[in-house]
Amino acid sequence: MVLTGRVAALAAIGAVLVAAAAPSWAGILGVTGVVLALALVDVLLAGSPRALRLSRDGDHTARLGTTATVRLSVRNDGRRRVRGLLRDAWPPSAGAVADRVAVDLPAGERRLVETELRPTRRGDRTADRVTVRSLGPLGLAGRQGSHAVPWTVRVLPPFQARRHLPSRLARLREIDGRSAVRVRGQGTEFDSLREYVRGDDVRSIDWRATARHGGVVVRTWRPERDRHVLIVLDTGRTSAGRVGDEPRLDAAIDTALLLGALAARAGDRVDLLAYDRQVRADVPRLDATDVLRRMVGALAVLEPELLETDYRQLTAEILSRAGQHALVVIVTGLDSSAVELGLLPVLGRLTRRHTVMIASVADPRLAELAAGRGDSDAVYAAAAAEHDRLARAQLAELLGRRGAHVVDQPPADLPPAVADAYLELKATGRL
Amino acid sequence: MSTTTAPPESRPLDPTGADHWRRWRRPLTVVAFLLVTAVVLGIVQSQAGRGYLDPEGVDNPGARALATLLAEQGVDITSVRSNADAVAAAGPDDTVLVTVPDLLGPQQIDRLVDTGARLVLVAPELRVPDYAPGLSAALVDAPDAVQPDCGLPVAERAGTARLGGLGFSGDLSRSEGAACYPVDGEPALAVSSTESGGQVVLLGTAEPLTNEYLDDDGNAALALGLLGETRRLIWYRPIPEQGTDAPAAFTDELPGWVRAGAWQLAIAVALAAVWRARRLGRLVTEPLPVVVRASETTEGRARLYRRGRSREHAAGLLRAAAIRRLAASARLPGETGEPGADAVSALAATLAARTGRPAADIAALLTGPPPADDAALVRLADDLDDLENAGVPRDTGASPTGKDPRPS
Repeated sequence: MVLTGRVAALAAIGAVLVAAAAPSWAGILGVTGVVLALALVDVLLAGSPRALRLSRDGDHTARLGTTATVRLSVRNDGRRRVRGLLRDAWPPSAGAVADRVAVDLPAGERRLVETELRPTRRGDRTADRVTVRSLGPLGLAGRQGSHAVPWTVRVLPPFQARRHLPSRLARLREIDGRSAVRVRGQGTEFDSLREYVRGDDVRSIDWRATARHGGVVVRTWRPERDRHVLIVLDTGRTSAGRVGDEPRLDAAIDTALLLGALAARAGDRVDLLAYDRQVRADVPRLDATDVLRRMVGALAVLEPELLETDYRQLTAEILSRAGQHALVVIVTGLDSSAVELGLLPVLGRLTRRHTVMIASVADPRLAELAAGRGDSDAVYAAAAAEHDRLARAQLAELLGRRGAHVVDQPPADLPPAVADAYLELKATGRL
Repeated sequence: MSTTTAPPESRPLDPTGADHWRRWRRPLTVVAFLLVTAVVLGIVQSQAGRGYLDPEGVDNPGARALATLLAEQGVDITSVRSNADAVAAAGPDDTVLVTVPDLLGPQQIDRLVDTGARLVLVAPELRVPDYAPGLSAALVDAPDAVQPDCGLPVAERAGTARLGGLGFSGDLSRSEGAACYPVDGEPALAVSSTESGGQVVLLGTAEPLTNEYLDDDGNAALALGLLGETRRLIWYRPIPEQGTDAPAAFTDELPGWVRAGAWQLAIAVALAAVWRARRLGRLVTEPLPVVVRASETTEGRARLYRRGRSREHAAGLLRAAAIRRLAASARLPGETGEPGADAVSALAATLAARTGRPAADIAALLTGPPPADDAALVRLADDLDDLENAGVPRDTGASPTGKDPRPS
């Protein structure tokens, strides 16, 4: 049962009637009784929202920043016409553009209602209820009912670092291309044998094969492939802090996506792990063909947890996943004692067997504060910022001294910086 | 609610009539039980104690016995509670028994007196002069059996009666006044007249009228004599009433059509409230991400420095950062946060050679005493900037406070 503004308007017009014609309690009672009786008739004549059958189809996923469309099919199984308002309720961050539509549904017919979503945050967005308010023929009153029509749209991370991918792939081909010279060097491995052509380095002649074959045969080399790259995302409390306008974790996800896509194209074996005190995401053996799809799907629902990351346990997880020599990329934030107390003591166990890169999301606000001059407030803020920058620098030096490669950059610059560091390691054969 | 269709087919969520019944039957049962209990208790209570001098009360302070006796004598008893009812019921040939005369305000007393009825007041104290001008009440001994000791026929007929508590003194000469049952020398029963000339009887205590003492001594005879004098008796048990002295509310002055229209408008407003109050479906909630900026701790530290005016600390930090950057640009060892004095003097010498400033000035800037006040601190920061801008080689030209020259 639901009333509309018309009932109130009718009762207000009735006030004139009462004042002019029947200024008594009986008059008030009579006018109000007529108004309520009309409303009651309207309720009885309104189509029942309960008799509606609803179902959905449409997009299951949407990249952040794009639009998803979810269609709602409404069929009226009741005997009376359903005329009124329909609300398809979504959480605020699903960004439903217009969640209220007018419906007019004669008995036995069906309509499609399209809801456009422009999500404002990554993650799963689950539809709430569909509520229908069906008004009677007079528009005075009606019935209202809700339906549960489950639907989930997974909002994928935007992968803004995507624009850095072509240039890094070109650089990768360059490293490959250097091997077109087919010289033996660091970061190369044996590829194949072929006949000697003039200009080849005589040092690469394979004498044993030459003896077997009859002609002169040289060995060729290519950049090392099939290396193991393990990307570890720290989803503990350091990843929750806001840098710029988004949590640190979002920058970490962008970094992981760019590095994963690049490494998979380079022919390396890529594993992904998100961890704080338990495994939040675990995507093993990413192929170049579906690396982005699988990573994006797994990372979309990742949320920062307000926990201290257990680095000791994380080390055990890493060691159990990467048996052979691997490149372990830990994406975290350097600005807390958590790293000093947690990561530093266990770093030695990792660097003993693996190449470790620590990618840290720096806060550009620190540089902004450190540049503050002019009045005492700004200078005190600059001193505080210098304090933190010195601490970060010292921590980075400590980590570097223990054998880790540290990349500390603001969110926008971190993904390409990590990709470049990876390419450098690859080019110099230190993977 | 018989739909068991699996998703994606919809499922209506609104309760049916049966659901409402299932949900509300328990609370309704409880409410019904409470109501029945209250009604039963009320009936039981009404049989027992009803209050002081209640004509229906059967307990000790009640007066049912007296009311019954009066009715048998042919006296018509009208029980009233409000002043307006009492004034409306009383006439010049009636008796009004006021059980708590002090509860009435002066205007109410005036209205009652103006009816010209005969008044019987039970234990009046503060308002005695308003009823009977010239009289006043004083505390005397507690009620006990007393001799009438006067010429009032009713008292003489009744003889000894239980009176006391309050005595009345003053001029009784107006009309046929009488002073009976003296206690401590003051009459515990006084007869006088009101301003309008009606008789007024003042009783020092209610005890001769109550169920408890009615059958003692001459109490019953005295009570019947005092109250059975006229055909009609108005039994007025006052309740505290708002003094009607205030001017009538302005709404009473409005014409009837305005008031009726206003009531109807109020109904319209209530209907509008119902219209606006109903949501189209429930609110949808969702957990929100952390909104605290990562730099919050830095800004907190800055506020701490500022509040503590820790210039020495701030200057030390600014100098350490400058030394670090200068050492990096000068390719000198200065990597650790605490460079030794040697390293700083070497750095000062290098910078002096590069910028052409005296090495002593540079060393004083980098390691001098802490600034004396905030203005000096601001100047120090600017001086360090100047030094860095001069010390940074031309080709990089980067601002000292922009990009961190630390190799990554």
